[in-house]
Amino acid sequence: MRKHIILLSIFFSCIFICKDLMAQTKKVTVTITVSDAATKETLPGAGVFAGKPPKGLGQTNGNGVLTVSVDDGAILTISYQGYTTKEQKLAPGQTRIAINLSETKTTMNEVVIRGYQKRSRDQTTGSSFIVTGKEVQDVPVANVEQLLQGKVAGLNIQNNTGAPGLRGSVNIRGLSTISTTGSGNETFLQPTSPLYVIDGVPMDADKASEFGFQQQGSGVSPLSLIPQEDIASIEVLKDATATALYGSRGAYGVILIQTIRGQSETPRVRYTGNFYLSKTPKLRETLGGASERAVKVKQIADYRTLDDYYLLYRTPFLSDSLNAFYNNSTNWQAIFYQDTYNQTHNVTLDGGDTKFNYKANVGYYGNKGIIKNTGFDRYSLNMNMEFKPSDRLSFNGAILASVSSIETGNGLGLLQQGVASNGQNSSLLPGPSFFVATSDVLSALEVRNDAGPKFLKANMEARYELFPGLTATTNGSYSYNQDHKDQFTPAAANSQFAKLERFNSFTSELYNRNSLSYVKSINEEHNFFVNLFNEFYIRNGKSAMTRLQRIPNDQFEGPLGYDGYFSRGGGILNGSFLDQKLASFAAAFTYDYKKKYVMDITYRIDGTSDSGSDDPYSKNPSIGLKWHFFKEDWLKEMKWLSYGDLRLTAGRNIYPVGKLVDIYGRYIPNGFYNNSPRVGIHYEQIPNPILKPKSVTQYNFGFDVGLFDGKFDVIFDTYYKQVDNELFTNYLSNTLGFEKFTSNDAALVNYGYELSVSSRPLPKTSKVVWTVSVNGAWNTDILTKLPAEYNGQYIEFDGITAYRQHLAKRVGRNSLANYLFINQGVYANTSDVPIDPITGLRYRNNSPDDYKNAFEGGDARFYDANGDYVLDNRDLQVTGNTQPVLTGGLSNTLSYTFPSTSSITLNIYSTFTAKRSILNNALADRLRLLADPYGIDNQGRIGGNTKAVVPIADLNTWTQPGDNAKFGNAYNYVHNSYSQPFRYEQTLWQEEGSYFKINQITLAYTFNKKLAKRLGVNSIRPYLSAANVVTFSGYSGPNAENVTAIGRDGSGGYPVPRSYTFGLNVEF
Amino acid sequence: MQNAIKYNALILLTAVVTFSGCRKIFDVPEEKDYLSTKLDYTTKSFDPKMGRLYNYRGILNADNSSFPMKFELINPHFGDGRDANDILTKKDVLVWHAEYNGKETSLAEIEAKRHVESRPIVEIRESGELIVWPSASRDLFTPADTVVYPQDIRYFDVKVSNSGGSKVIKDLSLIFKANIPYEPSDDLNQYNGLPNTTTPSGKALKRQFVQSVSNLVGESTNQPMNDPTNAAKGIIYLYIRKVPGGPGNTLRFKFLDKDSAAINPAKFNETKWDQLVHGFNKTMTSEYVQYDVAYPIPVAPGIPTKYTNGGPTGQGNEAHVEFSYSRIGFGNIRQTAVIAQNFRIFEKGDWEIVFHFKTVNPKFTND
Repeated sequence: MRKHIILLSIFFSCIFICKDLMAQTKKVTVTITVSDAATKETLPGAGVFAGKPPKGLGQTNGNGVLTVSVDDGAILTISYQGYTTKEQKLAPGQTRIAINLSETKTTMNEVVIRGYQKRSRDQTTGSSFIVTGKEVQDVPVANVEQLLQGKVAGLNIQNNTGAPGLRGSVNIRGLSTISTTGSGNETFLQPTSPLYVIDGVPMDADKASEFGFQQQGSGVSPLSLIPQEDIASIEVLKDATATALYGSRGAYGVILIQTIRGQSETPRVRYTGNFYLSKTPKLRETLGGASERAVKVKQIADYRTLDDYYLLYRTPFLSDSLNAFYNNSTNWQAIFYQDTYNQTHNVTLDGGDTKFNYKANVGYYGNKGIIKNTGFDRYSLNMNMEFKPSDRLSFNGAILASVSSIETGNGLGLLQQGVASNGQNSSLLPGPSFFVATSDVLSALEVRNDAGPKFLKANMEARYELFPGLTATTNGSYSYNQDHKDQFTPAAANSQFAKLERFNSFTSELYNRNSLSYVKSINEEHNFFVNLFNEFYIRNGKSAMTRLQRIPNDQFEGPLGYDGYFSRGGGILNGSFLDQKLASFAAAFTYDYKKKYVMDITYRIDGTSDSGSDDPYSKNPSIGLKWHFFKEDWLKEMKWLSYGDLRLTAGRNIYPVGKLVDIYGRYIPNGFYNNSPRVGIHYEQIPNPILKPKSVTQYNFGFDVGLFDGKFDVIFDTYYKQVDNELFTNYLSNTLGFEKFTSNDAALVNYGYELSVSSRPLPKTSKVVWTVSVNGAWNTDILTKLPAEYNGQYIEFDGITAYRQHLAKRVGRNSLANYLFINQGVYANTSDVPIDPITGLRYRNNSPDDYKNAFEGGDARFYDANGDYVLDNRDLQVTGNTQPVLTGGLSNTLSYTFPSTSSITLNIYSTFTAKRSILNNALADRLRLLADPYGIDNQGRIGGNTKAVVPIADLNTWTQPGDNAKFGNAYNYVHNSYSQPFRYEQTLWQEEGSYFKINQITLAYTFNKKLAKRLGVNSIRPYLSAANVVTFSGYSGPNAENVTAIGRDGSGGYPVPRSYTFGLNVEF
Repeated sequence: MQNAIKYNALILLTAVVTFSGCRKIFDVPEEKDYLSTKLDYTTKSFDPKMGRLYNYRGILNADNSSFPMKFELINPHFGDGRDANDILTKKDVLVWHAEYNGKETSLAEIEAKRHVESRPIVEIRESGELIVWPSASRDLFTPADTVVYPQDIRYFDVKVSNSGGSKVIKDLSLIFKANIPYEPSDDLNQYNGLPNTTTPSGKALKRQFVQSVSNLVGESTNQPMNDPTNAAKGIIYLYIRKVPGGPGNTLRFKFLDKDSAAINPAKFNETKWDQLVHGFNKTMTSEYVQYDVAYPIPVAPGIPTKYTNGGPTGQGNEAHVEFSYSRIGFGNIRQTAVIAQNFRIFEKGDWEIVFHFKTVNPKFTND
């Protein structure tokens, strides 16, 4: 068959070249457009044949169009690799025909996009994976990338926050940075999301998270503003050749999103509605009322000092059990958490033919958070149209507009510290009312936000085919993202004075790309493709913030009457000023011989204004080779091999990372000299004029194999990815005038393996279609370089927060490790504690001169690395890996078609992550809640900071001498204040964070056409789905996924809700 | 599905085995321990007194270098290049293997918690800290005088190594000072250990006085003896000295009156004799009270017991004794007189601590 196609195409192309000689009787010139039945994507390179036996007419061009002269009323046969061959008879006089082919479901034959050009996958060499729009439906999400989790090997998505509208972390092929900011649970790993290219226009998904957890503004990524219903396909580009042509920002990988195109002869209206319940996950168990008091009093009775005994009588919430004020059993968590009902609606209108078509998508997405006073709403309008006045000229235009609003309570979106600490309040305290409540509680519940980005993007593309094969394209787009956050805190929630905060920011991006591409085929044997293009970005942005303290009252939220002394603001926020210009020139060349041997070469010169002024240009080549071995004659006989190829690629990409401050320094007014003002450099930082953009060099080897006629598809890749020129802040000796400078002297590598296997075990004739696919990626990251003066190790000490969990960056091991005390269990008896043979003193904590610090039975057994019988910072060890090593997913689709042609479908998607260390600070907090039965706050007030008691009976704790336990004696609060067995900085909390999660289960029923027509619609498909269904994990904390990007499971995170959806797709 | 994970893992494992070697192909550095270039001793000169145990803490700034590390004391030499290997001479010292807690009921029980080991006089611990054992003695070292010439200073280097490399820190210096076998030791010359004089070449001996007295009344003056240095109120000298001819593990307390005649210790009738020192086999005569004790005193400084300063919750680095008696004072008030003294004795032997009422005898009778 394949041989046929090739021979025929060769034959045909001869004819095509000399078509003028082909004049016969009764000819019509017909324009054939071939597209995918499901996604409405046009299919380039589809073979068109006519007559019986079929004679080749040619292949469709890059837009899936072939204009050819045929006999009037001929029978056309359209074939395309991976699609079911279709025959269509031309009506007499018909000159235009649109043909939809449906997929036979093999990964090999997809259309891919390379450097903004559509190509057939078998003519490209890079590593990529396509997820169709269908796979990211049926569960309403604010951000579609949530649903990509576990679907693409090597794309590691952790949906680590349940906060409405906000994103988790996304990484392609491991770690791309070692840059962290903040400390404690708020240690923030610089996000390195891939570059999203939406219908050919790049978009920065990390915008809004650049300030870390302490973000200003709404924190909503522009990516959250695209409704999932509007997505036709998503392609994830992984290796350097695939991403080469997106080079100037493509170093972290590229994700291409195609939105739906209008492609229906008759105008269609499609409606999707979802009604869903977000359910609070299981919260912390807490002892209520009298039980809490009993535990605390017993704790004091057992372990008190003499002073504590007297203190008990002066602590009414413990001793005065008859006092009505303290006679409560308040469930504080219930005050903050709730189950919510939400809905989304989306309407798509599309229509038109190949000459003119249009699409409009109007959507509403609403999600009230499971923490009260949080939520996200989005209104979006997404339009595109295509106009082809002639076969050689086409225009494409699109507008995306969306308005969103986000409520984050008094938290910062990703973190809800206020809720977390108040949720731990003692159950003995009376619940909140406006008059009897801490201001923390009120501020969590009563703060009013008006926040959310407004996003507008317009783009226009024009394409002109100068002569067959040579196409010129120009594309321009402008996007503007305006973000604001107005926050009002009533007086009662803010120490009796109302407060007003206003944040305002904008980012704009002007983008232009001009390209010239040429396709040439010689004898169907030698195929050439050349693409030359340039692109420009001009990006601007800044943020400003004001905070008015002590405004007159709760009613007047104006600019008058506030207290100027306490208020802050004006000017531009530090680090928020963006003025970036990128210019790139690129060339791509592809050659293939009989589509059997393919070679891709690209070369790109990128200049960025974020590089040092000395040499802003970087040169990025790439090369890719591919061998379709199944086309070799000696493999022809093997019928079980549907297709097979080997790929080998190498290349380099960059990402501009420097800030203007890093390159040029900061200049500040420096007083006056001779009555003229002086502006001098700020001594904090030395400018680095040779700063380079981050560069990522990748080598990839892979193969794709299809076995038994589509029953079995395997994609395997192994890669080596080297990240050079990573920014690193070097701190200078204090004898110098400057404090630090930013260098490029860090580097890391990732290497690993990716495997996707999919299988359709049942015969094609079966009524049941069953598809199982599994993918997994194993990634090892290793830090390879630090600035020379650090000699291979840099410890990011946390000296600020109580956590003191330090990060270790050590050359030769995983880039982000923990730096902790090694916990080796619990001393069963005091006599088990080792004795210093020299001094005779027992092994002790920190200060050796105080015998109270000596360890005893029931204390944690810490590893004394330096053998001095004193536990101090020198005993800290580099341990663990904060990044997951193994990630992947599993999906299972089962559909059954009834004889009535109605069908029922069951989809199960799941994902797994393994081999990663999580610091279970939630568990640490739980045990530490017992550390202070009196609840003494930081001002020394007894009962000022009373916390709940969480039962610890389920944990293996030490209770009496001789116990062989995992956890120390949590009740001995007096001794624990010296020996600190529950300190955060130890490996007791470092747990294996592997999990297997069932993301989504969907059950859908599609009514047959007849029944649907009877209901007055074209088609109707109701479905039920559950998201975030269940997680299997050995991890002892609440949720192994709901942790920060560096694996800290703090109590301040936003829990991920489980949701149940009823939805409906209707087409009118 | 769990099976599928296993299956997947199996395939990945095979792949790992097949394609392992990225590290080698691309020359990825191996993980090594960290040895900071800034690792250094913050204290580099040491002047221990002979006969005492020194455990110099906090003298090394490891700058987060990875422990465990190997520390070696190398190249001991004098300032003029002569070999100074004598500091590595192995001698017998007492090493603990169980914890002393002050509740031992016999000398044997204390001794069972430590044993004799042969150790070099100067050692570097695993932590890089320096130890000087009490086995340093005058037969090996000449005590330093007030002026120390470089040729008399012992220097040594420390070689630090772990898998991250090695580094030699040069020229830590060591000067041995004269052995002062007890504290307080104001009556000894700190440079040669001989009785101290008030002026450098004078004949008048420098005395030391008892640490604290309260509610003592002079027999002849009827005035409070609240200043042991004041001749009019009543000087109380303190002597810590060796008694010849004992078994080598005794401690004796003695009181002398102004005629240097012994006062019967039984007169200090409120003294808790059993809790005075951690000693056993109390012998009480009309001249002294004597115990069998374990040396040094306190036997494990840093472990607070009821025999140390501050009691069981104190610092525990000095022994503390209190002698007291009570009498009816003027106005029919019962006055409890207390003489208290902290001390340390480093050298094993038969020692006595003498309180000498030099000018005025204390009054024991009621008013």
